[in-house]
Amino acid sequence: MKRLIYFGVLAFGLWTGAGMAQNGPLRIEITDGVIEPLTFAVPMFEAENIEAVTIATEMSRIVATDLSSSGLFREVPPSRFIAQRSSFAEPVRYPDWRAINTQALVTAAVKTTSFGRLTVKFRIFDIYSGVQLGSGMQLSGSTKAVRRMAHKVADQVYARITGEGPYFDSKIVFVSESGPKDQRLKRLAIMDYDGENLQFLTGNENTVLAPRVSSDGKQVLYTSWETGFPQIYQLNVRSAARKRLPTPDNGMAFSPRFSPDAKRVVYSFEQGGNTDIYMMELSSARSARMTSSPSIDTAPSFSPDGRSIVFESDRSGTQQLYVMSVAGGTPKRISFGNGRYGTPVWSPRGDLIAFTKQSNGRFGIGVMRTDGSEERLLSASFLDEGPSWSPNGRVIMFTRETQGPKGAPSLYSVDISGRNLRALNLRSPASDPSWGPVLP
Amino acid sequence: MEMDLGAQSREAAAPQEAPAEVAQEQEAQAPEAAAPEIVTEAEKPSASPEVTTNAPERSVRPRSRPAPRAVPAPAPETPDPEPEEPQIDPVTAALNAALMAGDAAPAGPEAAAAPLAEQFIRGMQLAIAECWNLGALSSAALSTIVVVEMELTRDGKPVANSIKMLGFEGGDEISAERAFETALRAIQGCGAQGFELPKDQFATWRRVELTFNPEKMRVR
Repeated sequence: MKRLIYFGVLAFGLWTGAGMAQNGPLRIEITDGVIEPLTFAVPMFEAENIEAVTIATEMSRIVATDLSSSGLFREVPPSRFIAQRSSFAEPVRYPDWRAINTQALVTAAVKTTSFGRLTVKFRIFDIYSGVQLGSGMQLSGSTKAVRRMAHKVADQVYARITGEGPYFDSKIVFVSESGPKDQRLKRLAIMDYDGENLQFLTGNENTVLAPRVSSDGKQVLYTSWETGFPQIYQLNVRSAARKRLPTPDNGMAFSPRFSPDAKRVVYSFEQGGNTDIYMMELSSARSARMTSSPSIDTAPSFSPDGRSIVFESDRSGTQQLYVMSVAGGTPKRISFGNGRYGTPVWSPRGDLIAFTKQSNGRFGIGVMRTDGSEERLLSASFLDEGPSWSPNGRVIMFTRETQGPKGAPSLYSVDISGRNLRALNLRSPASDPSWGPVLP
Repeated sequence: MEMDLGAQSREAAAPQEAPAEVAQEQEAQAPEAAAPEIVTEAEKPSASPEVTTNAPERSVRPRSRPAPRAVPAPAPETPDPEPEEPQIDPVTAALNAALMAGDAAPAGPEAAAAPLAEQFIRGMQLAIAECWNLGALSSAALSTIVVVEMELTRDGKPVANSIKMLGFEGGDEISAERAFETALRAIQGCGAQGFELPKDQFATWRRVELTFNPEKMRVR
């Protein structure tokens, strides 16, 4: 309340300021700014021993690449550097960095030990303000985990400067595809957020679809045609042990998703031409029906507090989005724009719902408030679908499929501002991304 | 105890090179489970794998607005980067002397300075807006209005350690801190050469209160 009063007085002061005698400070309001990536520099990390030279080079490049890939930062290339840093302890020469329009500087030193250990210490500087941002930090790990440690450093820089949560040190589970378009082989795979360290989680003998990672990143739900019908499987990411969820045999179970605490699963079950949403308690394996409309209700997704779900349904005659309490009740329609809405996913921050929208023969990824307001489209193409949120709720990854007989799916990401649309550089077609949490 | 990041890491495998057998793949599937540890330079690594320095350096709380002050005499420690006097005619010199005398005299709380012409206010707005880069701000910080106070030297340059956040609205303290840092960069980035302000009205613009309102810049 004090703040509101304070700003009320300020507004009055601004309104009356011009043309009158002035008491106190001159008051000015700034309402226009610029939206540009923040410029940063990452001088090559200092290697504190000879064994760390290669690692230092690799880490500094990964950190710079991570920050640039976010679209919120733009690297000042090392070729433009005036200041040549010789040691981590050396004071920062702010004028040299200002002269090349660097706003943030990341300095670091790397040291290896005889036991395969690696330590990196780093500092972040605000060049325009001429201060170090926060305390210096130190991170230790194995020399085999250079990429992860670099992602952690980048996460800290990103979070400290932007105020967003981190997301670089995270994994993505997706469907890796191979073979001709009409005989595509599909298998589950997992990779780092940037496409590195790709590993397969299943073979390609059975078609798999729509993997969904649990909020702790340890489990994956997916749909498989292993029995000839679509059924839901749960896979342990570490051991790759998998089991079929005990859904009834007399129908098709698909489109599963974990609750935030990973104790429940919501899914769709089709029987006799009617598709409804069910919720299963994993401890008891008992399912309860959540919807009973004579329509196709599918693609459920929990809110981060676990109290609500959003799903798609054609009960109104066209495919639209609905929100309902997990305790039951009447679903409330939230999408009202032109076109069809599907595959809704609740943001981990809880403020937005991402969706696929089909309109005028094109597909796009969009976001809206949880009450359906402030709808915005972030992408549009021949076929964009299946959004998945980054763990900080700032970036959305989705599948984009190209047109034609040789068309193939690939993974794209976009900032929730609609800027920084990027294709992930993978060696083979990929679809259905599910972004896991930031690793511990 | 620090955990070994790499103990369970695996080499990246190209899709074509991956084993077809599920059992074999299972051996190669485990992602890195251990965690690196981040500690501040001031601390010893602890048993916790958590990042320990996410919190801002200091907690910024909205302060009550300072009571309107009389225009004080220039602080003796405030450097004047233009020591040389320009060549001016005797009348102007006398006028300046009178103004300086007015500045130096302590004024009562109700004393008022002459208002600054709109062109100078607009010029300052434009100059700061040009450097007010919101491109790397969190969504929450983009919803935060911050009020910043600063002092200027006679040549229109911000006095570095005078720039303070007076209050904020619309976000939490971390968002306000990030928003303030952005405002700080704008002031220092585009004020480094000095804002164009009439020197004869130094008393009017010596202290400036800036409200950074990003509402128009928000993505809707």
